[in-house]
Amino acid sequence: MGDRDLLRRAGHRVKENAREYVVTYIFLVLSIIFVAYSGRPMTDIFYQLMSRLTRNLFIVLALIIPIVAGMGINFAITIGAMAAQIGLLLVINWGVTGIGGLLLAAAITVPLAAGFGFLIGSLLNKMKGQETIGSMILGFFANGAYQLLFLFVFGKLIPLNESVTIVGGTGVANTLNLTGSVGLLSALDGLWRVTFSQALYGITLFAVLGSVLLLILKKIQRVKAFVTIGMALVFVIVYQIPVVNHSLQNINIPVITFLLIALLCLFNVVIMRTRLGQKFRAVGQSRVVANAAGINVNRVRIIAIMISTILAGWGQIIFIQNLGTLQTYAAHEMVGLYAGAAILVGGASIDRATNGQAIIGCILFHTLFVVAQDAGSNLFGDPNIGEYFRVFLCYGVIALALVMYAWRGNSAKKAAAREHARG
Amino acid sequence: MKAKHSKGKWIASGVVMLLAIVMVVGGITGYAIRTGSFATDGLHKMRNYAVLRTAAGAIIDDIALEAKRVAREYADANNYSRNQRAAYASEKEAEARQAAAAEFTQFNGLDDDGLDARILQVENAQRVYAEQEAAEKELYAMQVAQSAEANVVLDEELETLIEGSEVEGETVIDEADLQEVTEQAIDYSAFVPSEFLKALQADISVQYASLQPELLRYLPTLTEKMLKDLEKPILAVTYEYGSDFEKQYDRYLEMDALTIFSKADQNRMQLARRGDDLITIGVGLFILSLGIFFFKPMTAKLGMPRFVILSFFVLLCLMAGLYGISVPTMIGNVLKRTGMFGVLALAMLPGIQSGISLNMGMTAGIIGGLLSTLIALEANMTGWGAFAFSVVVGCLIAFPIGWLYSKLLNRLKGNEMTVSTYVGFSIVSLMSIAWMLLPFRNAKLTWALGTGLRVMHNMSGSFGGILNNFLSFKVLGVTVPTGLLLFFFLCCGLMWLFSRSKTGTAMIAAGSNPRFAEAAGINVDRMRTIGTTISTVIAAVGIIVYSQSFGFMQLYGGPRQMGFIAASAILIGGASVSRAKVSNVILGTFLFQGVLALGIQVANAAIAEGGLSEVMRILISNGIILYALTQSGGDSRG
Repeated sequence: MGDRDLLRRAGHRVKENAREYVVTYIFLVLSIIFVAYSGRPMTDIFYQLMSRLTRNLFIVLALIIPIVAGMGINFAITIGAMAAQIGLLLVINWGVTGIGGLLLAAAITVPLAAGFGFLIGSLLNKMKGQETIGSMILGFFANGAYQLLFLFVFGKLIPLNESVTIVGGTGVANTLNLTGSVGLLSALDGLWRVTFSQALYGITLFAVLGSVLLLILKKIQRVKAFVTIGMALVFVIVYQIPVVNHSLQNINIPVITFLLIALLCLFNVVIMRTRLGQKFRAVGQSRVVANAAGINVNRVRIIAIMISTILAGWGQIIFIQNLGTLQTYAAHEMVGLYAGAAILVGGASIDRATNGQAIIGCILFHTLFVVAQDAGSNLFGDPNIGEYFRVFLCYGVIALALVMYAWRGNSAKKAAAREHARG
Repeated sequence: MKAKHSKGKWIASGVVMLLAIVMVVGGITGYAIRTGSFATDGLHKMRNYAVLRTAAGAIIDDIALEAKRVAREYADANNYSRNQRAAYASEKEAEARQAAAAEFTQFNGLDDDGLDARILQVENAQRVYAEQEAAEKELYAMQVAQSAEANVVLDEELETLIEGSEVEGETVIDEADLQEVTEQAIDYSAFVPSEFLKALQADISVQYASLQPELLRYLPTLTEKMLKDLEKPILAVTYEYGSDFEKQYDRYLEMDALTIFSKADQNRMQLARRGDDLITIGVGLFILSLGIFFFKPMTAKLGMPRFVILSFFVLLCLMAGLYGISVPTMIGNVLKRTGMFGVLALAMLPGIQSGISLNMGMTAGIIGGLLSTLIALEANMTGWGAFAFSVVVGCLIAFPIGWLYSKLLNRLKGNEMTVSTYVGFSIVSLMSIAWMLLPFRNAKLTWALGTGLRVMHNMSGSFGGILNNFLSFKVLGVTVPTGLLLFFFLCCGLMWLFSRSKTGTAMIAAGSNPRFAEAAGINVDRMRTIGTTISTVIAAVGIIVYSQSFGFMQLYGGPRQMGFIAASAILIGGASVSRAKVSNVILGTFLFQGVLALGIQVANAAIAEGGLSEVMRILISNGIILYALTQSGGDSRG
């Protein structure tokens, strides 16, 4: 009897899990197939993946707070990216180099992104329930304003150095280089790099010592501590296998960047335990209830978007310093789409998201990104097909997530109505 | 407090109105001067002066050159250093030039009939020649455009254009660029002038020869060689394509011809030249004053963005007037673009009416239209048969797609627009893969190297422009694309009739108030299905009409923006996301495309940099959709 019950419950859980993470599993399978058919050496794939994670993780994590606050996927993070690019342009123009330049750009981003975030939030408050599409179109709109600013205002009304303007014309040049004397390339990543083995052993040591310490202080359960230590050891042991070891050999880990990412994860967790975080959640669950509880719903929503926009701006700075070039008119365009698709791939939905989902999603999404072209040319004989398939997956994942969310919402509504009729 | 506010309004609009009246009066005075004999005579004098001044230029150059030579010789004789020699020579040259200019640019009796008559003859000969040449070249271009070689050149040019304008895998092609490429593709090197044309050209030289004695009368020191060298510059002064008052005036002004008048007469001539500009500005100010006065009620009625777009449209019209852009070409462009995008915008109508709000998934229907056109091109069909085939097959393909799509939307009530946007995007990118893999074999359609269909397909070999040219006529210089407009209005009329029918009424009722409709016994889901399916089918027809008018069919990323363009058009026309009429489609498409068509030309005339029109489209299109979303009222939906 008990056994059967346990079995049934386990089966139920698996089913539930499968329903929730169906997109993640599809992506996992696709990734494996694509990696197998890409014909690229694992060393290369891991190397590419690591640099992509360095670039993109921060921005994806910036999406979490608005999702929790019930505002869907904030595609308007592109506007945060634009704010960051304005900051970077000014820094390049003034010739501030190195980490100082990046910090200055980050500082300029804050007021700009906060102001934009306030405007975005106010506008989205007027279209509750349509935030996903609203923020996307707002991103397009802002792109027009951005082009107007960079083509016709900068250089003409606001004087700029010749090095950053279009040769023989006005407006900002198409590509801004961060390399060489500009000195912003890897200004953050390059501060402290370690090899993969160093990072692995370091983290293992940290996890083991931390667990032991917490165990002695009796802050965590014994099981949890042992699981953490066990997993850390398993990773170390797996790393000793020559194939794995070899594949991960070339990877350098930019410690400071990943510390920042870890800090953001921590921030996302900690803020949910504060009073503001409670408000985010309350508003996200039900605006009506939150309003009745005396929460200023509109204000909370605006704060959520402002935080997200500023974080996205910083994320874009990390992205561009890693890349080394700033495509003035294109670098921000895909930010919202890629980040949104990545977090959904990780199993997040329109109203739920966690750090773990963001990280897993980012890894899977970018794995596919790395290998799509090669797999396309090997499977279909044309690299473009892989490219188009990648774009299709971006939009398709978002469409699927939206359909599933709406479907669930509607069937919940119907069920409630049925309940109501019966009761 | 309120009274004060309205007082300010009165004063502001009054002042602007006063300014407007001053401008218009000034402009009318200028016009009066222009049509009077003073301006005609003045213009003749200016022309005579300009011709003589050009001729005198040759003498002045000669004298200056001689002075320079003498100065150099002097410098050499006195052992000047290299720098000294150059400085001395240029100083002497400038001196001589000034002296010569003072001597040779004072002409008496510029109303000399003999000179006037001769110049007029030269000008006439040039005009006749230019008109004949333009006609022959047009004929030649038409013949060449049909030939295979021109298409090969065009394809090559197109490919470079596409490569140049690719952004993140998406091609955004500016219409102006495309037009330029199409014109460039015609190679005039093989153009052979007819005997008649050659004779006309010879006549110009003859007329110029008879002008020479007149010139010599004024400037006896002109040598034989100088007269010969002067032929080109003088002919450039006497005639240029398009010789209205402004063009002539500006041309003569370049030769300082205004200096022959007294100060007062100069002002009068300038007033005559600027007369129409003053009237344009006056009309603009008049509208502005009305705008200030009726600001509140108008914004309340139209909504802020629509008011802004309307004002922008008026502003662009006025600017087009100021920059002297040819009005007939402009109107022709606006008409063409209205018809071109009209049917696509119409596809939004049944969607909104049946309650699925903006059907961004109409790209699914567009795919149907593209597919059927591809089939027609693959089979080398041409003319009306190809067009009819594409439309019918396109509808047949779009019908089941729309039906299935509506089944999806019926399960997602309240989230249609969000979902349909991304479903639309997904379909476009999925079809991008299909375009690579579908078994089309016609060499005209596929890349010469590599697999898959091309991005741009030239329609001129098939049914390109078939509607545009049907019964097309020119009136007052405006090319009216009769067939295109007729087709658009036919579609609008059919939709209007449908909305009057029993099903149509039920559909609109279901869309505007689903609960009430349900209570009245209307099957809301069925009505939504009908609306979505019709919308999808119209989209298929829309893209075919668009392609034939544009002259090119765009695959891959091309259809992605179409939903947005159509949505913004109908919204600008006064529709909301839950209510729309046929009139919204017509008015909206006209306004939106009008703003874009005028915007491109005004931007090209005003600033050299491109890209402004694209920026404008992005801002207007997304701005109006955002506004509509805010109006749909937060909590009521979703």
